[in-house]
Amino acid sequence: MIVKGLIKKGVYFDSVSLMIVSKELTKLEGIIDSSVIMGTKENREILNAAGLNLEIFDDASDSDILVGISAVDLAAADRAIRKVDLLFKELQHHEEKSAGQKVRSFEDAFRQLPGANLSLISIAGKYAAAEAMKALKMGLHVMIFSDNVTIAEELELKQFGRDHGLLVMGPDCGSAIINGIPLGFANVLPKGNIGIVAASGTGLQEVSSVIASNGAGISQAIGTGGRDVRKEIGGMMFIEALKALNGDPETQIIVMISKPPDPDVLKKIGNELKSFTKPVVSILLGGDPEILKQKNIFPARTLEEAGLFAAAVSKGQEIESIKKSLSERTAGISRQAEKLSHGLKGKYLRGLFSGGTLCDEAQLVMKDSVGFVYSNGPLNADFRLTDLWKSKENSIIDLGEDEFTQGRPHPMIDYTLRTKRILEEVSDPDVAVILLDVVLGYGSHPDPCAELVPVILKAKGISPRTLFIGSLTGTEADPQNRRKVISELEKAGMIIMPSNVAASELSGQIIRKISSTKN
Amino acid sequence: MKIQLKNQIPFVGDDLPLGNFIPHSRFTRVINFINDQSRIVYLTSDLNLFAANAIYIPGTRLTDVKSLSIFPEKILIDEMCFDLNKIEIYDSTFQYDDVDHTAFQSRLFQIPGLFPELFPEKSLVFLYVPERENFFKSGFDRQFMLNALEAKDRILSGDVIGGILNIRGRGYGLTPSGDDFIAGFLLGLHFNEVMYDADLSALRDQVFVAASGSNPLINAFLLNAKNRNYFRPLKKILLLLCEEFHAPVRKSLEDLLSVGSTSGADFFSGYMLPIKYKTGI
Repeated sequence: MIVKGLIKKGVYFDSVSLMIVSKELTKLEGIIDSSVIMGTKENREILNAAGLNLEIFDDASDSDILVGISAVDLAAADRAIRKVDLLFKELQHHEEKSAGQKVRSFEDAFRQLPGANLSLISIAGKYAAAEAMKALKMGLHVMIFSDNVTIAEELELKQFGRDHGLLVMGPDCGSAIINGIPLGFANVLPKGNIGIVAASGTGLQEVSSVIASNGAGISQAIGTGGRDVRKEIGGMMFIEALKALNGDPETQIIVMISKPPDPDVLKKIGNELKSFTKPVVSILLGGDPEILKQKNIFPARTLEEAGLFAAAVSKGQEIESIKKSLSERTAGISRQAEKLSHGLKGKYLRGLFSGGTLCDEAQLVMKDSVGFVYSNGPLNADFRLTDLWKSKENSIIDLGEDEFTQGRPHPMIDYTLRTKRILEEVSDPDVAVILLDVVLGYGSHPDPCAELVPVILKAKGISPRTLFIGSLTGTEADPQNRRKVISELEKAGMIIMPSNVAASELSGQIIRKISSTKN
Repeated sequence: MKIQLKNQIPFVGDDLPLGNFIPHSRFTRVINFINDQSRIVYLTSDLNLFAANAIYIPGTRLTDVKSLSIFPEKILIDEMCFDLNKIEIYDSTFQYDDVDHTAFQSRLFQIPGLFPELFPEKSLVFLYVPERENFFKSGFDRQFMLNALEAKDRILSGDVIGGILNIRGRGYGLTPSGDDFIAGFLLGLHFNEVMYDADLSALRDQVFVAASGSNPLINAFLLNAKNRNYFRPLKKILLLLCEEFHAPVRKSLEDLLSVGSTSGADFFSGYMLPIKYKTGI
């Protein structure tokens, strides 16, 4: 019999690891006995009594790990000694790997990833609030992707979050990028110095994608859920997120995105912004852009404009040149519309949207060219569609609304409803333009062309003169690849504009020109 | 922006030493910090490992934390500052107040019924259940077991310090089994002080001195016990035993036993011994 051993200094392993290594060593061929223990004087005495002590152990301290092995011969002992480090490494690897294993409860998940500091909750709405509170009480920030959480529950969660310095993003928060990690629907964006706070998921995606396309990047993108800026919630998380970005050294420019908040909430936001020194680009979609007039605030009228302004400020450029080039583009779109409107048979527009904020923005653009349009979420209550499944005159539908998503995935993931509706719309001889949004990125359909190209080709067979106009929200780095998707959709005959606003402007101008010609 | 840390400390231990600390050792759920007085404070993301010298930070990647400073009214973790006046403090004391001590003791003695099912094979439970000696097979195992049995005999015969010296520093684990046992033993002595209205502070001091060594992690663990600062998982069990022996006791016991491979079990074995054999009385 031969006894060999080693001392591991300056490293610490928990007792479970020490026992496992000891057990694994004993299983090796030719090994008679082994011990992996802390090097206390008393343990050395035990090793001595057990015939496993070695002279080298005399130098060990209480904090060292001793590995003692008895083997049938030197070769077996050497093999075991060589195995020691490997066994410890395997244990560490196993520990890291086990963090990704399936778990049965929130507590299990937290045990497997004790360093976690954010919980993404995407479960049936009626259970979401309870789980979110559990996460908050464990000190985690929360993103609630689920909808159907009551406003009272939202208020309670956000009050708790605010009082404990924790973010509560949502409910119904579709998109966020925290410390570079995309959550929910989100795009692959370059790292940069622009921080975003958004009470709108697709608004966040559109603005951040524009920023990325214009050579700037994102520090953080915090969603709050659309209801946060309502009177009942008081903009609680919107304001907390703004404060967080203001204090964040990596954020130099802040973009805030929302539909017009409740007046009192807007006042609170305005008061908060007074102490900010960082430039803030604000887009209050459909609201008065001048309402937050302040030296460091750059009001934008559209999501695209907000993204362009932020990118310009980030690069130290003047925003006046942006305004000028957008104005020139509008003139160009008008000329393009003039050309495209010739020879069209129909007279109405049908917008089929997967992004709620993009749908709102399209309606706002349309208001200036063709007036109010019918919708399931109209700007003017008189234009609410009585039958959601049947469009009327100029209609723009948000297919992501609850009435369409019950029992089926969101239209950014599942195109079934939209492709079916496209074929129904083109069968209406009065339809001249189909306006679409295509949202790319994590969470969205991995191959939108596989869904849209066949249906566009089929629709063109039914109504060759109907125009398909749209835009893509996303970046070149997204899994779907923006450029590739544009190329395939253009090949199928779709007109792709650089933004949702541009696509809406073109569609609106075409309808207006048709209308003026026919009158 | 690190979306973490800010105001995220739900509570801290009630016996945090002051000073500037540097990392001593890192584990998945614990990072130990040490100051120039060799005092240990640890950050943990697991409440099950909480004690008087701990800071609970659930939302933080512990591997990222580099420095810790503790002042009378604030804590600095890396660049983040926390006001101690605004943080809940864990009360590590346990006074056995308003408790029928005899009833408490009889509930406590029901726990050995769970030894075979719950307690790990290589724990010191063989001190109570001789059949479990069969789990100790290797040369080291057998020798360790003999030392522990001798330690018990010495303690029962009145040579408490001799017994302590016979078990200290011995056994498996980062904190050797024998040291876990002694920490529990010190808290068991506290029960005897209350139950029999005795002053065993001198004995506790002697046990602490005999058991302390050069490993600061073990010393910190022993110091808590000597000062009657209760390890949170044990306090949870004792609070439940004040009421009745029911299902939550088992759950809390499982939590304690999940600490280390045998640490929780050895600690509990140590707690039981002076109570069962009226040590010091």
